[in-house]
Amino acid sequence: MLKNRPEVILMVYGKGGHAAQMARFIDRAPEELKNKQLIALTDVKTKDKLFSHQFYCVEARDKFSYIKNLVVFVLYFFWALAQMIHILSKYRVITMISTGPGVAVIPAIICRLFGIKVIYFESWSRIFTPSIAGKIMYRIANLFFIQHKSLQKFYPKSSFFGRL
Amino acid sequence: MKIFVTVGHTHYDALFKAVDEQLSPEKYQVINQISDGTYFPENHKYFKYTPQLQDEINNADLVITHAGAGSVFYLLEIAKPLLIVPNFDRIDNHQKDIADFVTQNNYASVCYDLEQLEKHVLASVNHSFTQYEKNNFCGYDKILDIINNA
Repeated sequence: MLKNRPEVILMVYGKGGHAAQMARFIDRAPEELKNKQLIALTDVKTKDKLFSHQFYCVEARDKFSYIKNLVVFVLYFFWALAQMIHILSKYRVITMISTGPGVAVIPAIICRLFGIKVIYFESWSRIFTPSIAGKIMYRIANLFFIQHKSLQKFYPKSSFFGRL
Repeated sequence: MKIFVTVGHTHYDALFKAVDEQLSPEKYQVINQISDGTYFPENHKYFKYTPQLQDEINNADLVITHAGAGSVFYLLEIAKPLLIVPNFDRIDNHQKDIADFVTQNNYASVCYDLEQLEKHVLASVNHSFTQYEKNNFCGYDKILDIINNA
C-alpha cells in the first residue's frame, strides 16, 4: 500500500500573513512547480482550492499569553504528530515548504527524520530581529530563505532572493 | 474623510477605542474591521471580517492598520495612504520590526502613541512619503533543484 502513494509537496503555514506569503509563493511559482500535487497542513480552517487536500493543525503558540503557551504547545505537538502520521501514510511527500510560523516545527522534524528535504521562509515581518520559529527552523531546514538582507547577520547560511 | 481601520486576524481593542473616542463622526466616516475584538465602536460602523476587503480599501481615503506584515506590505505595494499603529499587546516583537522598517524608510506614517491618533491621521494625509519598491522573490530555481532531486 505504501508503494502506491501519490507524490506531493507538503505546504505548511499559519494564518494571516503566513497564509498570504504562501498564496503569493504559489501564485508566482513557475508552471513546473504548480503542476505538482500540493497538499497543505495549516491552522487555517477555510479550504483553499490551491491544494488537493488540506489538513488542519492547531497553532503552536498563543500570541497573547506566556502561560497558555505550554498547554497550547502540548496540544500542538500531539496534533501535528497525528496529522503527519496520517499524511505520510497516504502520500509520498517529496519536499516540505513552509512560510512559518511555529506550526512548521514538528512537521519539519518528522520530515527530516524520513529523509524529506525542508525549505523554510523566515517571515517577511522579520527585518531587524529573528523570530523564535525562524531560529529553530534555521537548524532544521535544508534551505532557509530570509526576505530582508538585514537578517543575514543572524542567519549566516541563509539565502536572500527578494520578497514574496 | 473616509477611513477604513483593519487589524487582519488579531484583535486590537485599544485601537478601536482610540478611533471611536478621537475621530468624531462629523469629521470622519470610519468603517472598522475589528476581527475577534471585544470593544464595539459606538460612533462608527464596524464588522468582524468581510470578503470585500479590497472594496473597503479602495473606497477609503486613508487606511489605518495594525503593523501586520500582510496588511502593511500589501497596502504599501498599492501605494494606499496609510497610517500604521503597531499592536504592543502582542508578546513578540513582530509588529515593532515592521513599524521601524516603515519609519526608517519613510514609507508611511506610524503612530506609536494611541493618544495622538488624530494628529497622526492628519499627518498621514498631509506629509509626503517615499514610494515602496518591491524586490520580487526569484529563488524558485533553487527550490526546483531540491524537488527534482528528491
